[in-house]
Amino acid sequence: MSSSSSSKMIELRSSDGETFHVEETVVLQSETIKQMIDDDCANAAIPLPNVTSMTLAKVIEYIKKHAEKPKDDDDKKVAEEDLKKFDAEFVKVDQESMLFDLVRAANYLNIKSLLDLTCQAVADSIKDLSVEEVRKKFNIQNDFTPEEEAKVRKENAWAFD
Amino acid sequence: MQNYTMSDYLCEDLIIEIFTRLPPKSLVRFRSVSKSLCSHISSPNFIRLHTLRSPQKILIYHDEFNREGGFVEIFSTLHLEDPLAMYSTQEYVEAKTVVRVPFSCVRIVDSCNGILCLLTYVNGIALWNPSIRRILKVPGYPSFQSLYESHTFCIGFSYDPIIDDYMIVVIIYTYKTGVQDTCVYNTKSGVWCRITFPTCPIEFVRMNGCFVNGSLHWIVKRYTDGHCFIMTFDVRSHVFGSIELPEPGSEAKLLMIINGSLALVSGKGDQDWIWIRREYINSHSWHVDLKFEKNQLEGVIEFLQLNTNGDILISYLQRFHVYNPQKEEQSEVNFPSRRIEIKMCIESLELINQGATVYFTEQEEQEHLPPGQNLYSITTTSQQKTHVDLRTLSSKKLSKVCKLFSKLKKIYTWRRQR
Repeated sequence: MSSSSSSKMIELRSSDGETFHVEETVVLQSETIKQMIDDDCANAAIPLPNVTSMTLAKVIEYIKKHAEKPKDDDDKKVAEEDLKKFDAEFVKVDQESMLFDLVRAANYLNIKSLLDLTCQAVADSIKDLSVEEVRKKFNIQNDFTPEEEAKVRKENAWAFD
Repeated sequence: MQNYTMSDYLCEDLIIEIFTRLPPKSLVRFRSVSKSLCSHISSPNFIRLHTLRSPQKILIYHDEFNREGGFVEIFSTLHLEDPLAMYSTQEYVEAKTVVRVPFSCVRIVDSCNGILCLLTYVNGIALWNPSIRRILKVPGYPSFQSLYESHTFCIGFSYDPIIDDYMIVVIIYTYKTGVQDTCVYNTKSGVWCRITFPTCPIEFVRMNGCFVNGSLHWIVKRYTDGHCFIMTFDVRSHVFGSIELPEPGSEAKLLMIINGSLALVSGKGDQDWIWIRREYINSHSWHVDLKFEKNQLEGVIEFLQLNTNGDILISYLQRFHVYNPQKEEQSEVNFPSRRIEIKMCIESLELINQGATVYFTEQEEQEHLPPGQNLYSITTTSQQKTHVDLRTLSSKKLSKVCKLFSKLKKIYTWRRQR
């Protein structure tokens, strides 16, 4: 990850007070931060009260990788493949809460590609779950009466196979 | 109003964001999670977003022998990345989503947003979303008892995103007198309405319309002088128009969509080309995308751009070729099926609030058993009833019974018993 020395550094501060220094060109992938820089609010450390240091470190790893520019067309294909592999590995996190944190951070920082990636990863992980497991995972209260639920299940019985 | 409490991790917006990326089957199941989620999943905005996010897939309509020696009709879907040319029978049948077709189908008119517009033997025109097993039977076409007994006709299936409505256009014509009747059906209104057609007598080169850029397109020939052109129909304004062929005097063979643009297969002498109209409104934007050798496209029925690496599927009457223009490679694909149609399709939730759910049980789907209601009764004139459960018959007997049925059909009434 080569960095040109001329690039301006931006300081980010996580919710637990840790600071991170990231090149401006890299951090611009976050629409939220881009807006702050455009509004001239980025002269001091940018506080990110919704993002923990652990999550922020992951996000920075992601945007740094995605900021790499391929040198030529041949390199471009290799880089695309490389990025695909990186993305696939990136969402293989040990704890599910980490994936949820990343979804929230991507949403808050408004990094579209990261939001797409993490939401798809969650979707892939829940697609075969049962109704009860989904309720538990997202803490959703079942507000159907037993009769109503039975009716909805019956209408959609084929999807429970 | 929040009907369900969010966990510490994800708010409702983000749950919806994740859910729009789920396959239709999971979403149909998760309608039972809570009332609020159920209404979200059924809402037009959710369905729209989900459709936009669904990746293109290849849909293969084919049939297979069942255990009793009969045929069952099946849709299999492949992912775009899958190299079709490499496919052996086993792989393409086993690896992917397989859905049994709940009725006998004459042909696929078109696919749009995951909905297939089908011509069926028993139900006439029907819209079917195989991903959610939902069928919407289109009421009878107004002029004729059955389209198949009628004159020659052409048909188009389209979608208007502004009013979120699907439309079927049927044009009935004869070769000498030209168009006799034109009718349009909208899923929202649920009725056919008759529209006027420009008077010039024409014949249609292909039955199926090609829907792109808000208009349906057919290749037509003017009856008087054989002049070939593309007839257009704007689905919103109901106005007919025309587009001239890029090479005057050439023979237009097929219309299709390549990278979202209108494309045309046409030939002159022993040369065939694929033309692409890069900008829809610009008549000078036609350019030759591909050239073909002499007779390479003889008897071609359909073209499909398969995937991003440029593979094109060329369908002939009884065979399929996958052609890669960049590599100039061509290979034949063999499907073990009497009949086959291949379309591009997505998996969507469209029609979830309309029509009815029709499906086979998992066992019936996997084992290709005839459906539970596949019990026929023959009522003879002497009121003697014979019940035949098709599932109990050996293949030899079944074929005998089938032959018998078709003979008896003319003399006796043949009813499906509920």
